[in-house]
Amino acid sequence: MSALKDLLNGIWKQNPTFRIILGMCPALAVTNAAINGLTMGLATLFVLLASGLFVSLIRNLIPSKIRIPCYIVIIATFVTIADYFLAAYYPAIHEVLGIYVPLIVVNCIILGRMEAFAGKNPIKNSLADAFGMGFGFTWALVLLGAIREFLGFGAIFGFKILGSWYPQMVVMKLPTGAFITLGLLIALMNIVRKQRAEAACHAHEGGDKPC
Amino acid sequence: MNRILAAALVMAILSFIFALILAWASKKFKIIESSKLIEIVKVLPKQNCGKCGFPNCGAFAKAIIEGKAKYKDCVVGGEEVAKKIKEILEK
Amino acid sequence: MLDIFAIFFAAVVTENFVFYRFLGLCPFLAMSNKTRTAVGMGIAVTFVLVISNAITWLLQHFVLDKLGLPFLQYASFILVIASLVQFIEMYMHKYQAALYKAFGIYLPLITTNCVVLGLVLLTILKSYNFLEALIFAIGTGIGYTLALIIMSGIRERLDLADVPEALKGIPLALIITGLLALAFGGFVGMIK
Repeated sequence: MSALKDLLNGIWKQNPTFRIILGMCPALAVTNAAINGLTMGLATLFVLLASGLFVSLIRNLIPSKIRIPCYIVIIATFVTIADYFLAAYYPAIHEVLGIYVPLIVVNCIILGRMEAFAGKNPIKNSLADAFGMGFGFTWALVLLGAIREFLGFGAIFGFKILGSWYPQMVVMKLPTGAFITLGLLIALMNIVRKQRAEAACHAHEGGDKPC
Repeated sequence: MNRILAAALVMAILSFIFALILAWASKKFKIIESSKLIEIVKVLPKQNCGKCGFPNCGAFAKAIIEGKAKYKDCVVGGEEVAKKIKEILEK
Repeated sequence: MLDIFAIFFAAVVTENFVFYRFLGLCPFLAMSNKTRTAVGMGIAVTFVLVISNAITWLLQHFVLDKLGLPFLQYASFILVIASLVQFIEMYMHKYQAALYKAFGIYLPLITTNCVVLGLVLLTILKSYNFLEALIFAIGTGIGYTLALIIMSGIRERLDLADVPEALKGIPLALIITGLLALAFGGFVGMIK
């Protein structure tokens, strides 16, 4: 089923954070703790789904020349909803996430998916793609957040794992830690992908021939 | 109810003003294009990613017509787009 | 007077939008390979920053606040930014063709550059008056350009170095940015 393929696409093969390298700003800014990364990811997922649904619904009504401003205003509307929702029900996290919630409006992932997918595809596929991308983004952020929180605070999702003997890695709490962790993670994923490609290629060719 | 009305009105007025300004701008800053150029632009992904080495998809199409770029150069479009461009050029 | 200087200095150095606030990273990582394009991008961004900040400040204080419609902030602000960038792009395409070609994709990409939206939102959050808003915008633009120039200088040198395959490109750029962030972090606390 092609919708399933669209969904799985965003989770690994075209993961927005590790592969397409989009949406860097929130990925680095709010991942000092896993819970913040999770909240940001879910908020983005909500905006992706809602905008994707809306854009896909009215995709044949929007004149091509003004589609970008239309998409942006649609996205901004749902971001406003997400922002107010978080401010009302999760004020503590909302405070931590700060301006990065409204900055979801200019998160290139969302506009990119509207332009490349939801604007041209039926509702089912658009929703699948939105969900896949959103989920891919979320797990990337949770991973990043978990690593930084573990090394920086000795905890994950607030649960203290390392005792007070652990000298907390301060650099992980700072912007620097975010940049370096993400850089190394992407490098790691590159290695994994290359090895998988080589293994698949060797299986095909049968051993000695270079890929 | 008042606030909903006010909000809708403000957005509508803002959009209208910007639409007017941009419509005026598109007339004033208009540039004439050849027909093949437009055909090529139509088959490009239009993401303006710059991976072909040109500022935007329009510039890439123009460069193809001027002979400064090859039809295979669009990275995002790949083989599919390259084939389409080749067809247009050979018409 | 000192206040204005503090705002300017913070925007350029101690609270640099790239190294401290994580803003404008996508174009920063993608476009900082060559110094010439880095400068061009920086100037374009500064231009958009100043004008957007002026317009959105007026919009917030004379329309949104007066009519009590704070929830329209994100949608109306981004509409302003998108329209402004579109307008500038059209103007440059016709009257500054050479410059337009040089700026290229950078121009339309400025709309989704979080620096711009981040700046206009922060200006309102910090309750700056009009003059402070303009200084904030100019400082931010200069700070962004500075970050781009430093980064492109380093990356141009790196082109000649032997980098492990897995680290080539984005991963290495991120690590370098991290080290630069550490360096800029040394300025924190300079201005009270």
